[in-house]
Amino acid sequence: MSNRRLIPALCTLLLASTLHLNAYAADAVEVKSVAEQEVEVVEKGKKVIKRVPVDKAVPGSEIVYTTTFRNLISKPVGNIAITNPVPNDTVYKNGSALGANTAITFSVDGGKQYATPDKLTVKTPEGKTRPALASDYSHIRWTYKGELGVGKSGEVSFRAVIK
Amino acid sequence: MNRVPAWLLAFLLSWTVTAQAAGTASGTLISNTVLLQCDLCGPGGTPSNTASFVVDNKVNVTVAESDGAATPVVAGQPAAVTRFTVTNNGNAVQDYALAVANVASGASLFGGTDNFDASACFARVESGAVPGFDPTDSESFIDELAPDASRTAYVACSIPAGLSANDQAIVSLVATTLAGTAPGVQGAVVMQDSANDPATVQVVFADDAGSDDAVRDGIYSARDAYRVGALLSLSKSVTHVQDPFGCSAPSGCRIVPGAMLTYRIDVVASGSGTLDDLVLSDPIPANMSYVPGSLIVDGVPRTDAADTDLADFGVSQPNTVTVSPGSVSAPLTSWFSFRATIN
Repeated sequence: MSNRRLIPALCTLLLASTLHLNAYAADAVEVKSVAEQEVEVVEKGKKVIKRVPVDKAVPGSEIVYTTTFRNLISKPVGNIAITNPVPNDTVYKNGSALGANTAITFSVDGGKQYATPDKLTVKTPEGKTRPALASDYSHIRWTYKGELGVGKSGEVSFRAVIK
Repeated sequence: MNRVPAWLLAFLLSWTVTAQAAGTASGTLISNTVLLQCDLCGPGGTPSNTASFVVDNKVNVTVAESDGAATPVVAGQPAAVTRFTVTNNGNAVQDYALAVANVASGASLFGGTDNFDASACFARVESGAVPGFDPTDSESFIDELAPDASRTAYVACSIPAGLSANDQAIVSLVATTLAGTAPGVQGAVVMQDSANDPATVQVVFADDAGSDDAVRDGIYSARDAYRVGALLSLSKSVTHVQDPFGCSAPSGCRIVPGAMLTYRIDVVASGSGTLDDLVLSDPIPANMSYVPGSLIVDGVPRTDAADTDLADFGVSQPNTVTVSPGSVSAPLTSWFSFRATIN
């Protein structure tokens, strides 16, 4: 095999691995999402609520969505915002969004604008304006206060009910 | 700007309304991907994995008795029909098997108590071709019932002879959920899955307990009652004889060829309720001849022709006296008479 042929092949290989490394390096924060259900089980004679992966999900079932995030790099990460669309065919359960050390806002316009529930309004078919209901929410945003320290992680969650 | 075609909009609107009423359809994939943005996350941010699952097959069926009252019957009625409605409250197309059960004696419904069993009961599904129970309603299972849709089902039973007014039989129509596999094919009975699998559609029972089934069993049932309303009794007698020897009396004359007999049929409808399509017919006995123009109903002479007087001879049925009062309400007493000669 001649060197003329080998060089372009090596270049392609290098380029590919560089791209891969770049993509990996971009993940300063790892983010994972799980969909779970709460079930009542009896353990040692006591009823306890357990979270299990979604099993029997029918209209009316409540799903708990939990997002976990973790700092993967060697310096603190600031300005963290987690945006979660309310999943298709579900409705947000009023008051269910939780997240330590975060400010929680909602969108009723497909994620263009976010505000706290008291400031959200929607237009009725008649053209009037009314306060937004939990069922109007399209997106939820958690804005992390301050920086996420090295090696630190956080968790936010909300509940949605299948239509 | 591209406009959405009106037909598409109409379809989407109607689909949305249906989806809301029935709940999210079985098999729908519900997915969620979170986006995290931060100072060092790049311009597009960091997406999470996609958490997804499919909506399971909610099974919820109800059966409702149609009119909230006992069905009036007469003793000996061959096919007494009651009507029910079966509704699919689940989120998938289902078939339903229909079965009829006699309820044990002593049960109460609509102010009456069960004290006999109807026999030869069967269930049929309204085909939609002709309203009401008729021979076109030949299916014994409900085929491909959409979420939120209902179908009329009938129960037909034979009522034994020899009953008294207000005797009652209670029957239960039991609908069992089947898989809605394909039109015209009766699906298998659905079973609740025990395996935990977010990626496949599983059957979840969500039905209440009906009159004769348990909660969350994929089955629902409702009861209706057959109540003996009017009882019909007939008695026939010879009230007068005129013999060829000059004797003419209720009794004592000779019954010989040439003698003319007056027959009287007394009709008594006892109890309560309505007798529909009542037809009374009396064939002239062998070796006798009907005396033309001798037909009398409740003391009023009737013509032999089939006309508005609801009585005829030899028209409705050959060589037979027929009285057709149609619908009559009990209690009722009536009679008719005619004369015939011995050949």
